Parts: sequence; C-alpha cells; structure tokens
Amino acid sequence: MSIVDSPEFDIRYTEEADRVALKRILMKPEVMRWMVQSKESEIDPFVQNWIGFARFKSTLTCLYQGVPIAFGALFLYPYQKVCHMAMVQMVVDPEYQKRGVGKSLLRNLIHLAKTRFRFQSLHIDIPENSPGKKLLEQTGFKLAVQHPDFYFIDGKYYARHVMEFVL
Amino acid sequence: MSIQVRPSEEGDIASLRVWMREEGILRWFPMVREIEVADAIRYWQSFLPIGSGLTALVDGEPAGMALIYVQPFAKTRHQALFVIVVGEKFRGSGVGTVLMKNLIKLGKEKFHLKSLHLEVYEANPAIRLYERLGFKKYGCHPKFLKEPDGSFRDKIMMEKEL
Repeated sequence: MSIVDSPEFDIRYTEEADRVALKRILMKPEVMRWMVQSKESEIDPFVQNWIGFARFKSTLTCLYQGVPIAFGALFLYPYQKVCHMAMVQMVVDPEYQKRGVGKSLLRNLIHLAKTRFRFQSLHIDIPENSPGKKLLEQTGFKLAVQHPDFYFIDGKYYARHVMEFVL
Repeated sequence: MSIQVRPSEEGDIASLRVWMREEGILRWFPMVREIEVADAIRYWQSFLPIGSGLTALVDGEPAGMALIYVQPFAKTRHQALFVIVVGEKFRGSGVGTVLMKNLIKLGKEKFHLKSLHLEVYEANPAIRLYERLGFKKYGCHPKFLKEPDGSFRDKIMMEKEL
C-alpha cells in the first residue's frame, strides 16, 4: 500500500546530517547489488560526493515517521558544456519499496530539474536487469545507450543502460 | 623521425598543459574554461602512479599522451575508458596510431582488460583512427554537449574487445 499520501510521509532537501541514513541504506546488500560499489570503502566516498550536493539543493530525502527512507539526487556536472543536464541517483530503503516512494521521489526530482535548474535532460546509468528500470520507464525515461558487458555482478556480465528523460 | 612510447611521467604534464591550450582542441573535450581544463589535467595526473598513462616521444620530445581511466570498482574493473591527446604539430604523423597500439597492449597485459572504450563528440576526425584500430560504435548520447553558442553535439561511444 502506498504511504506517500500519509501525513507521516514527507520530502525535503537532503541535509548534511542525513549522511548516516544514506550510508545505512546504500550498505544494504539488496541495494548494493545494483550499484558499482561493493564494499564500505567504496560506499564512503560515494556518500561524501552525494551529500556534497546538499549545498546546491539538488538532492532530496524522503522521510516516513521522521526517518529517512529514500534519497534521490541530481548529480551536477562541473563543466559548463554539459551543465544543461544532470545524472540521477536514487535509492529507496528496501523495507519501504513498492509503496509509491520511488515514484513520488522521481517526480519531485524531475520537478526540481525543471524549475530550479532548468535542465534540458536527465540521465541515469543502471545495470540492464536493475529492478528500478520499470519505474524509470513508467515515468518516461527512455533507453539512450546500451553498453554491453559493462558490469560484472555475481559472476555474470550485464550491460549498462543509460536511460534518458528529456525535460 | 622516430616515435618511442614509454610510461607517462610527472614531467610530461607540462606538455599536456601546452596541448590543451592549442587552438581548437577544446572542441573535442567537455571542458571550456581554464579551471575546468586544470581539473581534467589533475584527474589525468592522478592515474600516473598506477602506470596507466603512456607518452609518445618524437625525437625525444613529448608528442602525445594517452591514459586508461582504470576503474576502482571490482564490478567494472574488466573494462575502461581512455583518453588521448596528440600535440598539434605532431598530428598526421602516426603518433596517435603508435600510442593507441601501445595503449591497447597495456590495457590487455597490465590491466587485464576485456575491453577498452572511448567517448568522442560528433565530427571528431579521430573517429577514423579508432575505426581503423577496430573500435566499433555501440551508442550515441544525443545532445550531450552544449557549445557556448547554444548548439548541441552528440556523444559517440565506441568500444574494442581486447
């Protein structure tokens, strides 16, 4: 059942103090499976990078009963020629998946990309078999690039799918 | 004219800085401002200690450099992106080909890569060199670059199995 209409659900800009919750969610094996990182020493710099976008207000945190349960960010590019777009990163705590959280978060990210940053497109890199792919497709992301055998996960090669959303 | 290739050294970075200031070069890169170029060169330099960079010398003088961005993650370490720059006055003399052949060998033998890939912006004349070396296009990211004049250019992605 969806929890996003509950008064106990909220979305706000990510704060520096959310780093603990972000790391806790990213470290869950069922989450990390779909990421390029595979251990804590790889997660730490990623969390650092992600939280760094808090000061640009390009990262959002979903809260349920006051606890962060999902994060979504627009990773901004540092180069002028590519700053008409951003790369999306998103994660929902597995305990709260399939309850409308990802959908709500992604819509809010797209709104942020349009209104605050005036981006022309967004893109996201995922393994071809990532469970998050369905939501991206439903929201209007389209497959832009397939990079065969990009990931090696649990003994098998998977393509990298670059999914693009034109704003 | 003799072309030699050796691992890149810290001292070669000065040549890279010169080439990145040559007219027209930034058309083929995502950087435009000086601060962005400095950032990209710093990133390049950070790979030198692991030996993934090569420098071509023509009669003892640095003429071009190439680098494999060796991936830090176990899940993606079997493949890598690379970058290559040849100084303006050395273009068209085979430096790029010699560098690329050595880079492919380095990727295979030292870093055990299964494939090497690259990203170029449309109309880059180096695409011909990559095709000759066996790189095949696997994708295109439309409107990836927005030039200061407002026009867009696609990013073309090519790959070669090693």
